[in-house]
Amino acid sequence: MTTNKRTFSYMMNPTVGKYHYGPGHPMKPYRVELTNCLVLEYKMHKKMNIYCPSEASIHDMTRFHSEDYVDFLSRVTPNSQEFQRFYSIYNLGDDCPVFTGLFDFCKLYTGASLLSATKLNHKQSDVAINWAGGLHHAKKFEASGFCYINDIVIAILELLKYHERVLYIDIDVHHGDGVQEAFYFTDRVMTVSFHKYGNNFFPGTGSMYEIGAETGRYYSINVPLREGITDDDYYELVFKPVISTVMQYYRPKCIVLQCGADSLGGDRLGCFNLSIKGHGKCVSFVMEQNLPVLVVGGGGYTVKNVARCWTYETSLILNEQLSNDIPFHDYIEFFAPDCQLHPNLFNPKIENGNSRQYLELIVQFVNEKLRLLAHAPSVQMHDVPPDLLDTDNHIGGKPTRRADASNEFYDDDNDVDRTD
Amino acid sequence: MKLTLTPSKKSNSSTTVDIDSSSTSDCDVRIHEGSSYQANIPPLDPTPLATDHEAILFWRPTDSISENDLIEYIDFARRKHRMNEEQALAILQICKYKISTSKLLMQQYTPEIDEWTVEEKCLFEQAYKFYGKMFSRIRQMLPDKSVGDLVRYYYSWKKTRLHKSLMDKHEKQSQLMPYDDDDADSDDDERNTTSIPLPTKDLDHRGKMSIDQTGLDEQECCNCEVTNINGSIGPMHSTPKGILCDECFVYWQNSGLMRPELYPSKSSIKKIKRPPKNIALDLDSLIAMNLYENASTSNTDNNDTIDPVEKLEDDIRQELAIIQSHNQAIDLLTNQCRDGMETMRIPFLTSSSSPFMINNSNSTTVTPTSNWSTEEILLAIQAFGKYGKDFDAVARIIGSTKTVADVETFFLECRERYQLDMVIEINSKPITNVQRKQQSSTTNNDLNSNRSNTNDIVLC
Repeated sequence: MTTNKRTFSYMMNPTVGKYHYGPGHPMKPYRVELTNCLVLEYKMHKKMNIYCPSEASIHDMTRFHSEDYVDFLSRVTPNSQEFQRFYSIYNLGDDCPVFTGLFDFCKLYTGASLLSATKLNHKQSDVAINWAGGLHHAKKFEASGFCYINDIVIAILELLKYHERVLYIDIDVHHGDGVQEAFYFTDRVMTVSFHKYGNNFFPGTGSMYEIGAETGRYYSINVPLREGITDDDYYELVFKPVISTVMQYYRPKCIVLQCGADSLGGDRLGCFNLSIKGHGKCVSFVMEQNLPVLVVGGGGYTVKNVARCWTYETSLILNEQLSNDIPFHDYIEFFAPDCQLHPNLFNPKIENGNSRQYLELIVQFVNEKLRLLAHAPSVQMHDVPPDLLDTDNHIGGKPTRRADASNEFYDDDNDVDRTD
Repeated sequence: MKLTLTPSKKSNSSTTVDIDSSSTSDCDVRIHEGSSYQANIPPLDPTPLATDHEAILFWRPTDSISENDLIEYIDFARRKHRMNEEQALAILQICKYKISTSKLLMQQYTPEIDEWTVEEKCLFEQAYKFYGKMFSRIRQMLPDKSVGDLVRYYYSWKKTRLHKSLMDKHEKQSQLMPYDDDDADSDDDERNTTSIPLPTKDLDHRGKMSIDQTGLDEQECCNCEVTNINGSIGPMHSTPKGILCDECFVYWQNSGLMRPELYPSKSSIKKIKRPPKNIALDLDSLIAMNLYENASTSNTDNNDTIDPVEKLEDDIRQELAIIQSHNQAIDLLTNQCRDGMETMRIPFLTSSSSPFMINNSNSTTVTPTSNWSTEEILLAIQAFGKYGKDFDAVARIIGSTKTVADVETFFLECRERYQLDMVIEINSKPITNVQRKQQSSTTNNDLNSNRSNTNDIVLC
């Protein structure tokens, strides 16, 4: 694939709007349907392949999650006494209610993410978009934060079969704890999350000192922010420098970008003050890196703004200019009275708690940790691209023998100093 | 750790209280480590193409159809078969982009039309009023529909006028404020309609009546229609409600309500209440609607009878679509104008790059340079002539290649060389009305000659 002519895939499932979390719950799957509607209305199908993804199977989900958790999810029904005993074990209930069609919904968005990963793996597409996915809080054996099955982890596991290093970027206002935890010990996935931290904001993890452990040490980056951050601060002072440094030191083979729209201003649960254009700048910066990208959705609890944001970002990915007036369609009343693509989302009531020094301090800390990456020995082993191995005629699979110095004392290959 | 139920999420002040209660759960909040939490990483295995997940390809962009054809095709699908866009595109793709074959295929393939009968719609609205958004309960009232269908219908119904109908609003308003029933003007400003306002007709019969009545000797009370011929009953009072007789006036003053009628009024047609805002009623359109109804029953071409109200709704939708497309066109044109203005300025200044490149770059950040090119000097001199010592204006004219400071230094340094003082003096003479006619020709000549002089000085 030449860099000029990139192919794009868009996952569109017509039934995604049929699921409802329950009365009063802020998460509304309908926002994806609204996004799909807008994307078609703006005629963006001219530039991308549209797929209706198949559902994921239980086997796919158990690649990450525990079997009994997935089994429970597949069998549970709402309003049934016998299952309610188990709700607390799997953290179901208030935040993660059991609603009709829960497991179908999970299969749907997980299947879409998995298909996107497959498309990237087989180079059938340069960029794959799945706005229904991005549910980054789900853990191995429990639900969390409106997320039941962590489709991002499953997609990354699929990507890892074909790419040595995967970079995960999370611009949701909440910390991407599910994904970070899953890959905390490995250096093949670097997780970078920009989120609000402090004052018991969900989920409570994500301080800048969480850098990974053992082999994955320094492969988790957290950028904790205070509330009310605006476009310029976010992009110029934080996002661009951090991601540039990460690209420089980590050199991933592909990127997974979670575009949670709750970092926009005026979100029902979020407390940042980004505009749609500011949010989109982050997406275009990632696109400029010229790597295969898997774009997923995530948070976002003011439905009309989510649809606007994700439609705008789709247009940025396709490099297409959109008019600010939303074309007329059946659901235009959701965007009334202005019917604009870029309304003013700035909420003056939220004060910006991020001073310039605070942001610079965090970025400095992150840079220090990233510089240590270059010296970490484990990286160098993985840095060897597969091309080199091929030219050494490794198809047969015979390992090369190392030349030993005559004064070297050791028993055999397994005699190492460190005990892991 | 709850996502929705923590009040501390939104405000800073309440966190001090909450920290105490949740301190016990703080220790739970950390990244867990151990095999029971982490994922198993698969090994790197770049084997070439294995089985693909079966996915249905809906659409692949193609050049074989023109855009207009495509739009026409989608409209056709929507109108005739009530298909949404994705299904239409999918069928087109299957038929290898041949429009004629896909139209045939559409007739065979009827999508599951989510038809809701009027009873079902009524039932849904009742159930929603009763249960709110608990779709499982609503399903008990409508067992034929699946929960997914109910959710779908809810979202499309939510924003339509049926949900927030103007008649209902008017009803509510009139119930709350019965004495304002007749006078709907003050209510209209407070009412917050989500629908797009349509032109209304003024049907203020009362207004017409009062005008008529003041001309006559006979005056009639608006309420009880007692005629007051030459002051037989007593003084008639002129009020915002109209002309009232004494009794009605007193009643209205005390209570704010109109005196209730104890007998049927002579001409109850005069009591026509004004229709709510945004509803335009006139006799012609009503007659036309009636004709539609009569016509449609005899119309055998269409399978379904055209509901006149529905037809009006369709018309409204079309008009709104046209409005939005106009808005988009306006947006596009203003952007083009903006770009055009910039391209007019920039290619004149930068000598090296071609104008076409600049058009494409679409950027306004041209870095300021310290060298003054010939064109810039020309521009500067003319600008000085026009604006005098207004360095700001001159800098703006030259564009973004010169800052105000640059212009100032240029002025100071090249004053004598280009005789800038003379240029400014000649062009800044205030021309009075008397002198204007005399001097207009002479000053023009002077200006021209000056300019040519300065040109000569520059170029040589």
